[in-house]
Amino acid sequence: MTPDINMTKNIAIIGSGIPLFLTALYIERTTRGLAYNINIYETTGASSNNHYSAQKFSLSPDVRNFHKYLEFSENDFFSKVKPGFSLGQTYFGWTKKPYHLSFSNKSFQLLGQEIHTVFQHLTNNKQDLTFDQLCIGGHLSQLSRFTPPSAHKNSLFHVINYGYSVSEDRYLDYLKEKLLHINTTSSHLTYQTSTDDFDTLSKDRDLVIDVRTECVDVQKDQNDGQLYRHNLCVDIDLNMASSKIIRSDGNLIKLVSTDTETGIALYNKKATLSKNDLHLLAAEAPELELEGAIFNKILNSEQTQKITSNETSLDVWNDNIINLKRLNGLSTGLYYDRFWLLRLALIELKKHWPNNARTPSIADHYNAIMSEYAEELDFIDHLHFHNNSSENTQLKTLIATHSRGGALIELYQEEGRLPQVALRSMDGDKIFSLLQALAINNKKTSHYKFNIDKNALIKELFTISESFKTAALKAPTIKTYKQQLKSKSTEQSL
Amino acid sequence: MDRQLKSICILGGGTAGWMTAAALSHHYKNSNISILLIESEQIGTIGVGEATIPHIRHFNAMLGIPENEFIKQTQATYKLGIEFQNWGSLHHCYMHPFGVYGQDIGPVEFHKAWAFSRLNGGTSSLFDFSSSIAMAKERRFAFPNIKSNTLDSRYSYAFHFDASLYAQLLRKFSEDNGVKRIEGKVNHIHKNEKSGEISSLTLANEASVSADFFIDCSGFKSLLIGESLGEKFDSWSQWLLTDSAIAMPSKNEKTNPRPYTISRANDAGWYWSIPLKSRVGNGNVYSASFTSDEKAHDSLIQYIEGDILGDGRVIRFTPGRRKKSWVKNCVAIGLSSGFLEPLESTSLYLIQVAIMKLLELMPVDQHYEHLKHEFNHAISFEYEKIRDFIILHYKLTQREDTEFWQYCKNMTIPGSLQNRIDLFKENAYINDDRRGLFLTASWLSVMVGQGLMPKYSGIEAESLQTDKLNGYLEEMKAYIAKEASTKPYHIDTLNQTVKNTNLRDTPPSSMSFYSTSS
Repeated sequence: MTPDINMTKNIAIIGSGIPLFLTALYIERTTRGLAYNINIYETTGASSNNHYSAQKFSLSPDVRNFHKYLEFSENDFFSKVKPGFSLGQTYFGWTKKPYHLSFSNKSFQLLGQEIHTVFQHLTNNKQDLTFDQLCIGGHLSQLSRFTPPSAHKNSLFHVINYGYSVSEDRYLDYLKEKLLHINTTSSHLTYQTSTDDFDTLSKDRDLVIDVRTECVDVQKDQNDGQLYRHNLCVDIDLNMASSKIIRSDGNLIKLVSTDTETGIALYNKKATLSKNDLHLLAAEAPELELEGAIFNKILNSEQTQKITSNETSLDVWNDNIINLKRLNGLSTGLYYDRFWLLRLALIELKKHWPNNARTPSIADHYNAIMSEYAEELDFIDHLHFHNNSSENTQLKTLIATHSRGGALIELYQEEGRLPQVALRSMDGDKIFSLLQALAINNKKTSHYKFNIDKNALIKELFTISESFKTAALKAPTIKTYKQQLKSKSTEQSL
Repeated sequence: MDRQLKSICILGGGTAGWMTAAALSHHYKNSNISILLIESEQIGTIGVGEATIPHIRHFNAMLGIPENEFIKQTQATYKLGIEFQNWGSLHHCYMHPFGVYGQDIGPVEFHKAWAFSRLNGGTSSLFDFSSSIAMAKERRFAFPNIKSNTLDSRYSYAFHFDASLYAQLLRKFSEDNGVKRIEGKVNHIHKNEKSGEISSLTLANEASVSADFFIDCSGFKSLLIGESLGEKFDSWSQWLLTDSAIAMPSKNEKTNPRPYTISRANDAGWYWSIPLKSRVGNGNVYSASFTSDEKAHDSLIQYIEGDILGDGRVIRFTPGRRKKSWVKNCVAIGLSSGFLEPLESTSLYLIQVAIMKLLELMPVDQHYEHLKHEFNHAISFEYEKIRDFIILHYKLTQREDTEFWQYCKNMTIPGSLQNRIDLFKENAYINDDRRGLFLTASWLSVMVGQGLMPKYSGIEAESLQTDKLNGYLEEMKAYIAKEASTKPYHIDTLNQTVKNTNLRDTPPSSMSFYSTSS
């Protein structure tokens, strides 16, 4: 390669909290061993990590590959961060019945058709069978059992997929420790805290990555015209195999793994959280009540429309500045975790890495892809907020404001079809799971087999579900699995 | 009207018509849906698609047609890719193989590692890292080794075959599955006054055929969707200049046929050469604005090796497509839907993808607005991606020896394609969209084959050590060449396949490095 004078060699990363450390570690790993100069500035003030000390949250399954790239060992991660395993998420208070969305795949065929096509065929005639019961992950979640995916393609456990639930402070400490360790051994990276303003820190850089998280100050964010959402995450250690997301009084409460008494009490109350409960939570984390209220306010504000209707103007990358701050907080954590979009932004940045950061074709393409992801995320998050009333205004708004997502919902509702290649980030069978769980029904069945006996088909599906359950029962309980992992980790360290 | 869909009428019995009939009759085998096909022996067929891409294997597998049976009945040979001669510049050639190049080096995509080597003084050609090319050059063919993850597992294959024999095979298949064939020409198309939907067709013998749903496979005439329903045609002739073709088969005198297609650029278009078992399909695709039919005819005769079998007739076409392929209760499949020159053997693929999409979205009654929208969305995407890929071949030429090539080199191209070229030039980034035809290796083949090199190979490749990398590439190259030289000759594998009755060793049709979007 012939380096030219514009080569991207001096990089500044400015920000705070988990977004800063994820970004810094990723860029360091990507440029390791190369003649790059990376300066990391942790800004202080509103974004200091103290703000998050009480929060716990889940991490979507893709984080495992991300960690792998960063060369984190799962044992080390497990012993230091003490995460829970998350096979999916259970939603309370969103529809009449709680529902579970498994991260595992359901893709298998029956009668020569994808299982979601077969299931669709049954329309409203499914008795008590849910789509998630046709998935090994769904059974494991329900039984609070866990086993990692099997490497054998023919094993029922091969399709298992899982993420983690973590305590924000422990995760932050872990990432920071990793970065500080690299800082002591690497000469191409410097890390410092700073109160200097952005313009001073970013001066004369080839590339500046902005991951400041001042977005917690909502007033300020409203001024800069960007939408940031916040969710209320508390943490319960009940050896849960999935996160629990409760909607109550217009607030969103996400339960992952914790050991607080309030958390346990809340968990036991399931979906009947009241404002009083929020006060109880607030006593343990004063910011939470405020954030819960803010979430509600923001979700219904006009600004939610701004992102959804402005498909190609996210403009994360402008000139030599990549403003990843704009992605922070776009996710409510309802399906993908809060840092999902940030991880995607970093992966895409590596793919698009420029010789000269000021190359418009690269930046334009990057922005278009990130806008597409952001719109999909917004669509998937907002889908949960539909209601089943006859007017169903939320769903109508969603269809009207999301061109591709809206077309898919209509296709499903009116015709009972979903193409397998549906969105950039989500296949048809996953969207189908979501729509099934949300009790959004289709009016018609696909008619792939006219002579099928529906009762025999349901019987067959129940048999499949039972065989999954039997297999799931062979897996250890979460508690046992954690103990096994702990002893393995201790043996290794000895 | 909530009438359930009970009857489907396919108009036209060429390759598109019988592929559609075969797929629908297989799909609706035990249903109460009736399928009938109208064709006229007086009307000839264009017989598109002597050369295929690997997806055809998936289609045959879906119907349960064994590969040996297919090869026997259609005079097929295997195909490992297409060789492009004189496209980038005169006397230069490259191959677009079915398969990927080399193997990724840790987290570094192979093509970025290779580009890094080249940008740092390495001399290896990208095309030395394809097992398909290595075999094709020696006229050898073996099935990919699907049991391993080695270099000889990283390619796929398709066929050269006789499209009219394929239509015959599918006709028998369809009729066995209950498709009713009606001989006749359509005289009149009747529409429902209120809905504007097609209600029935009157044939020349005055018989009337009514159906709930119509599939227009009437070829360029586009009788239903074009003439009757008035759907507009979107011409792409500003980017794709060729508008005429002459086909002229010759005797195949080689005992071991080439397992690849040749596309040789000429002064105002290109020649094709497709080796079947007993003959070679030849043709000249050209722009009538830049050469005359006589010159095109004469130059084709000069190009052909071996005894010519029959005279060639001129076929005129306009590159482009109907703006929508599904209008009212009619779906257009094949030439009635659109036409892109056969440069990348995509004609049968476009038929296949429309059929697969239709099977996915077939209406159950007469409320189908959303299905129609989704179908048109998917088909537009396929056509436009293939259109861009074909334009790429013309745009990236360095030739300026004729007016035709000067125009191609300097023309303004669709923004979507310009964007792909810019991205590759900047940092070797190839966007394969995750759906549709043509993945990274295909774009790479044409871009690099026609002389486009990236200025930068991306950040991940930078961590590679040049000396070590070059040594590794040399080893990989030698391995591929050596492995290919041990494979059987094409004719031997072909004969073996035809004799084989259980075909245990045939790789599954999903073994394709092209994406299957439907």
